[in-house]
Amino acid sequence: MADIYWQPVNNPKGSGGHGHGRMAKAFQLMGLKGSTDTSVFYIHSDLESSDLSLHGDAVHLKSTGKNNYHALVARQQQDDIHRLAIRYIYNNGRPVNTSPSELLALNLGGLQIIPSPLPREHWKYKSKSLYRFQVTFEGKPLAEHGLLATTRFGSNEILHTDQSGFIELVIPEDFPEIIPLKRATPPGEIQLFSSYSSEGQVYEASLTAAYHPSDSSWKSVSLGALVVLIGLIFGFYINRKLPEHNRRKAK
Amino acid sequence: MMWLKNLTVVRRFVQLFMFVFLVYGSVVVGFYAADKISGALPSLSCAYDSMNADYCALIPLQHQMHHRLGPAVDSGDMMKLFMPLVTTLVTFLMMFVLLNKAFCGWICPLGFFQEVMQLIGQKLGLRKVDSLSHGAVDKVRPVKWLMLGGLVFGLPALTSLGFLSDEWGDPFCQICPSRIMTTLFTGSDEQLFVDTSTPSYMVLSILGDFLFGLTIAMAMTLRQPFCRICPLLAMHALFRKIGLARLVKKGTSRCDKCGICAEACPMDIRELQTDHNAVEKAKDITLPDCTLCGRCVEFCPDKDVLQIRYLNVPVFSASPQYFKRRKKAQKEWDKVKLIGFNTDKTKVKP
Repeated sequence: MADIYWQPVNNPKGSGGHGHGRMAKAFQLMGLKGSTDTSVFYIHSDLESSDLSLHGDAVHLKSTGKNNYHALVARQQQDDIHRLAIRYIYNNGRPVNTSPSELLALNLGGLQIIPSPLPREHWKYKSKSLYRFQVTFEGKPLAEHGLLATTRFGSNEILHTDQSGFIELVIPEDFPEIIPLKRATPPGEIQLFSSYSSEGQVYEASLTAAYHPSDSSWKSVSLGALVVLIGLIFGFYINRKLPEHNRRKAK
Repeated sequence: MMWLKNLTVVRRFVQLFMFVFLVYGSVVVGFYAADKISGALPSLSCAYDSMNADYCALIPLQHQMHHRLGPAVDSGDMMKLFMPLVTTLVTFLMMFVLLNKAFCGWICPLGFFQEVMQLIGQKLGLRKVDSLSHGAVDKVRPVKWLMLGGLVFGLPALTSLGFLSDEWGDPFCQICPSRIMTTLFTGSDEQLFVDTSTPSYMVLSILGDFLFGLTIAMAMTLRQPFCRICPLLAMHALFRKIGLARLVKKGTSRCDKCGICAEACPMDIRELQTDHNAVEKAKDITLPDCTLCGRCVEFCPDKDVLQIRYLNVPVFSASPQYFKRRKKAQKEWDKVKLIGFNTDKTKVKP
């Protein structure tokens, strides 16, 4: 795969683009072969856009002061190859009137991999969970099209879109070690790549995001159900003991 | 269309509609937090439900105390805390002014769920306890204030100031039965868990699960068990004087001996019977525990003694004709039993 893609810089414990992010974040554009013809821009949550410059292969993002998802986009054209790398980044700040669905609906031209949907505020991609993505070309869904899903820990899978351009992906639980506590395990990176040829031009697209271990390592649903059952039994016991009382005063 | 003449039936339809809208409404309003119609709804519409249309006011309040108080104290800039807090409270008030405490009796998904459980309990013939004793009611009433002060403001504030570990940042949500109930209704069991990662999370998750089971069981016998201790009831009580909807009473000397209104009240508000009797002018009796469900008005046999008013205009008033019709309908409804589980023949104590 020759695609370019974003990944966080030296941030093994960082949020990777999710969570309470007000601080500056740094991301590295991987797979870059020469920075010529590469443009990088940052689409804010209110759909304003600002140009960024690469320092080597990295960009440093300052807080925009705006809440919600932003899109970090890199576009590169070399001869007849058009490359697009996107990463959606959550920022905290003042509320904006635009929904992330409007950000996702932006047609950036060429081939795009679009989360459907992005995790909501305070939510994040987790292993063992199923997520949907859509592959589009010039804003139109690509049916029965191949997509490669890989992770930082070496898992990979080839998926094919359905008639509406969607793929469903269960993120693998491939962490070398899981610390049984929320936010304690450094996140992994899920990387989605796709390419498409049209009229002699090759389009490549990537989408990356952080993912975290499934809660199932430290949260037990069966134990939860057992405690609910105990609560139920205790409730029925109390019900039998509750004294009745006539609210009306005796005449 | 006889059912349209029965306020409880109308209310149940409104509750059902609001339940479906609040629990599954993301298909209408959108999926993301930014799409929700409000981030501070004055009823328990859970943010953990992935398909909801709205957020309960209690989650932002806890988060603001948890995430803003410590940094505000450290920096000396209290605006960091007050601005978001005021924004949440103003949003809450804007909606609360419109419907006042009717958010509890007409909108809240957990309130409706408990009423449905009560109906199921009744139809299964389980024991029915219509009222708690005065002593029991007096003991239960302060709990909602402790829930509001302790779980919504106190513990998140102590967490933010570094006195408690991070697990105590949103303790009310951790134990709220609505979190488990609404997510189960969307087909997800991810909120029904025991968290073994830390002792604090374990305690909170066990409490939450236990309270959920307890609420289901108790709602089958006793009316609205969780509503009686809900922190939103306390928050509503703080602001009830500014709501446009009110319950008013112009009591007569007969009220003291009647008391059907207090008996009908699912929240055991005995003051409905004892307060504002033999007065010249109708007085506001929207008491802290009132949910504006209107049952007291339905079951008041005297003309205009109890009224629900909106902007001081009567929208539903007690009347002898309605009372007779309603009482008959209730008797017919109570006769319908699917199974007769209850073998307890405890005598009613006067």
